[in-house]
Order: sequence, then structure tokens, then C-alpha cells
Amino acid sequence: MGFLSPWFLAGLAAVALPLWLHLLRQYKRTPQAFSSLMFFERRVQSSVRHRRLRYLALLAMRLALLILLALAFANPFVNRTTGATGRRKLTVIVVDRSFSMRAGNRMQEAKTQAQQVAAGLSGQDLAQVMALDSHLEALTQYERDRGTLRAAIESVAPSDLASSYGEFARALRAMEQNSGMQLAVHLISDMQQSSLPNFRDLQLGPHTSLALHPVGAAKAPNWAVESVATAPHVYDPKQTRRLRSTGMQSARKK
Amino acid sequence: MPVAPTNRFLDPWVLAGISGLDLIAKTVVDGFLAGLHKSPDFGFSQEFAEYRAYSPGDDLRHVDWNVFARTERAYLKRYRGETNTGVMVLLDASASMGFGAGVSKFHYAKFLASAIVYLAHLQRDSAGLIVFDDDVRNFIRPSARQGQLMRLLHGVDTAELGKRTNFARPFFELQQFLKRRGVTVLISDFFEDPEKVVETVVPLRFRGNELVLFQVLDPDELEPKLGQAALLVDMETDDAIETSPEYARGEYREKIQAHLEKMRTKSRESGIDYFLLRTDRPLDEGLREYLTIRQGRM
Repeated sequence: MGFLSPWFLAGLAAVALPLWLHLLRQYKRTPQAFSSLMFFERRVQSSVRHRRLRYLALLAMRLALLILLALAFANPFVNRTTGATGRRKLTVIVVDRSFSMRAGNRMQEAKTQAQQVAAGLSGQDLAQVMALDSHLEALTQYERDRGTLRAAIESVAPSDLASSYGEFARALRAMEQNSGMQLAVHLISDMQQSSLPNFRDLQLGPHTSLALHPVGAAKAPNWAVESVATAPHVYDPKQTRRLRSTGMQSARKK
Repeated sequence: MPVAPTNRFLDPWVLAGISGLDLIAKTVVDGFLAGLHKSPDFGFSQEFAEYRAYSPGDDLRHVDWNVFARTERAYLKRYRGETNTGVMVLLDASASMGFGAGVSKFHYAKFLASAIVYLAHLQRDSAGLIVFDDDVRNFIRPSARQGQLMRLLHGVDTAELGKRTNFARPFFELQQFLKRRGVTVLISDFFEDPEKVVETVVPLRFRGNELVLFQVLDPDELEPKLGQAALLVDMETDDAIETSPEYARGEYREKIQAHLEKMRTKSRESGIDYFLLRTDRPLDEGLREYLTIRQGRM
């Protein structure tokens, strides 16, 4: 814990004012002469004690108000971990179904990994299966039933769309806010670079943790066209042109 | 067209503005005597003497109509106009008598004592004075001699507030002085147990004396008005106690009313006259009421 503006804590000295006024009033009560106290009884002091108690409560409230004001101006902050929030946990299994997942056996590999994640859940854990391409689609509700989760994972089929991690992050932020739960997200994807948006759009909520499960990416080189050099006018279609590209060393050899 | 005064009695504040107790006493007594049409039947020493048959020329006001109703004969009631009856005024000068925001109880009691000795003087009764708190502070022997009124008024005027009230000691000494029968008037606030008060003063009645208790109280003692919780200090003992407005409005009033009722009851049981006077009440009005009640009993 700390304070962003600790110099405002000097305002705590202001509590001396009500304290001083209280003491002043306590000791400056002027006695009132009365002819005889034979009809007054000691037990009436209980009401006075009650009044004094109320006055002390009022004093405490005044002091507390000043202290809280000073603390509020000092901008206190507390370092807390996500787990300390006491929110319920939801495991989200997201399977990438973008067009690139058609390559090789990526989809099958993704389903296998997703099934492994689902199998690792304990009996009381809530989980939800989702599919990602250009948007995030929920395939189940919040479920404890493992059979439903497995069936949902098996039902994922590749689409013709490209995946969008920006949409993925936005959907997770909205989901965290709406559900009020702590999200443990497992993304099973081939991690296409083309899916990456601006860095800022990838920001997740404070109660969301993300575990990446890449599939099929370890062996494949990542190709990209860097530039094409050609004359502005082509007169001989048989003339060869040089294409320059970058990639992994193994790709260059090919 | 002259406008009739709404209140012909004297406000205590007006009395307090008059310098000189002789003038105050005269104002008060003349005031209520004028209100009573100078009836000779009022006063402290009026004692029934005898009946006399009516004869033509007698004042019809003195006919006893009760006797006439029973016997169909007119008789005149005759009183001993002046006797050797003495009036002894006992004035409490304890510290508690100093209470009162405007006219204090002590001032009021002084006015009352002055009026009584003046009234006795008018009737040519002998009158005396004892000022006491926890002891006898001043004693003027009863007398009807020339200059006695001035001595008594001076004694009342110079009386000063003392310490605590203690009826036992001054009354013990008083019994030594009161050899002759008469009327003893005790003026005090009676902040004491009524049983104890009556027990102390009742021996004064045994020798044929009449005893009259005037209890003088301030309105603030009967109905204290506290705006907020206050620390009250006893004027006699210096004891302090914190109290609340709720208590002053509720239980206190019940207690003091019970005290007054007990004073009234105990006095009546012992054959003692008791009369309560509030310091906000015109003195001549109070005296007139008391003497009317007294006359009704005679």
C-alpha cells in the first residue's frame, strides 16, 4: 500500500481542531446555582452519560471525516493480485477455427489439446468452450459437465475466415466485465501473425489470465513477401524478374 | 372616561423598585386592606369575643346572619379588637433563600415579613422578629412600644443570607422566648423533609400559640426550565449534580408537587396554617387570599 500524493497527509493535523473544541467545551461548562438539590437524584446522570456518549460519537465521526478526507486527497493505492479478489473462476477454452487451421492436421491437434485442458479441470470448475475466427463464438454455456464440453470441442470445424486476436481480446474484456468472474483463458491456435492487431487492442482485463497452446507452428517456416522490384512497364512477358523475400534459413535453401 | 386598572395588585417587581421596607409594607398592607374595604374582621389577632343582641343603630354588617337564620334573632358578632396577642415573625435567611433571577425568595420573604409586622403594628399588637439560618442571627423581642415597627423593619432590612437551614436549633431557642401566647409566622422555602419540619415546629403550638407557615418559592423551583443538560450546584451544600431537561420537566415536578402536598397535609394534621407563595405573585394578593381563608375558619 502507498500514497500517490503523500503530502496531503499533512491535512491530518486538522483533526486537532475538533479535538480542541471538544476539550474546550468539556471543561468550560458553567455551573448553575440552584436552591436545593434534594429533588434531584444521582441516577439522572445516566442520561447525561448517554448524551456524553453521543457527543463522543459525534467527535469520532468528525475526526474520521477529516482523516478520510486527508487520506482521499493523498490517493492511496493497494497492490493486489488477481487471485485475491475472491471472484469465481471460469475456464474458457478457445479453439481457433480460422482458415489456416485447415492446414495439415492442425485442427485435430487443436482439438486434442483442448480436450487435454478440459480433462485437467476439477469436478467443480466452471468452463466454457468457444470458437475463434473473425469473431468469438460461444459453443456452450458455463458448464461443469465434461461431456458437454468435450462434445463442443469435437464440434468445432474450420471456417473460411481469418482469425482476429483483436476481436478475441475485446470479447474477453467484455466477458470479464459482464460475468464478474475471474477468467482463465486457454487459446489453442496456430498463432498466425496476420491475426495480430495493434498492440493496444490485445490488452486483457485485470481478472483475465491467458495461456497459449500453439499448434502446427513449430515446423512450418513463416513466409512473408517483403518487396517486389519490377519495371513500371513490362514489354517482354518472357523476361524474368527477381523476387526478394525473407524467411527462415531452411526456407531459403529450398 | 377613566380606564379601570386591569390588575390592582402589586407586582413583586414594583415592590422591589420601592426603597425602604416601611414604604413597601405600608403599600402592601394598605393595598389589600383597601381591597377589603377596611374590614375590621381581618388581621392576625382577631378573636371572637361574644354575641350581643342587635339594637337599632348598630351596623348591619356585624350581624351574624347564620345565627339569624337559625334563631330568627339578630345578634352582633363581637371581637377583641386588641389583645395582648404577640406576633412573632421567623425569617429564614439560609443561602437557598437567595435563589431567584429577578425578585429573589429572600427579598420576597423580607417584603412579607415587613407587611406582617406592619399589619400587627396597625392592630397595636406586639411584634417580634427572629432571623435564622442554622442559628439565630438576629432576635428582636416582641413589643408594642413606640418605635418597635422601625426596629423590626430595620431588623428585616439588615438581614443577610447565611448558610444552611436548620430549624432545630433556632426553634429550641425560640421556645425559651415565647412565654406568651400569640401567633408565630415562619417564612421559609422549607427545603427539608415535611415531617421533620412539622415535628420541629409543632411544639410552638402547645402553649396556645398559633403557627403559620409561609412557604416562599420561585417559579423556577416549581417548574425549572433547562434548555439543555446543566450542572446544578446546591446553594447551601455546594454539592453538584448534572441533570437533563427531561428530568426537570418530568420527575422533578412530580417530586416537588408531592413535597408541597405533604407539607400541606402534615401542617393540617398538626393544626398549623400553611400557605404557599410564589415570588411571581403579587404579595398583597397572596396575603389577602390567606387572610380571607383564615377569616373563613374563624
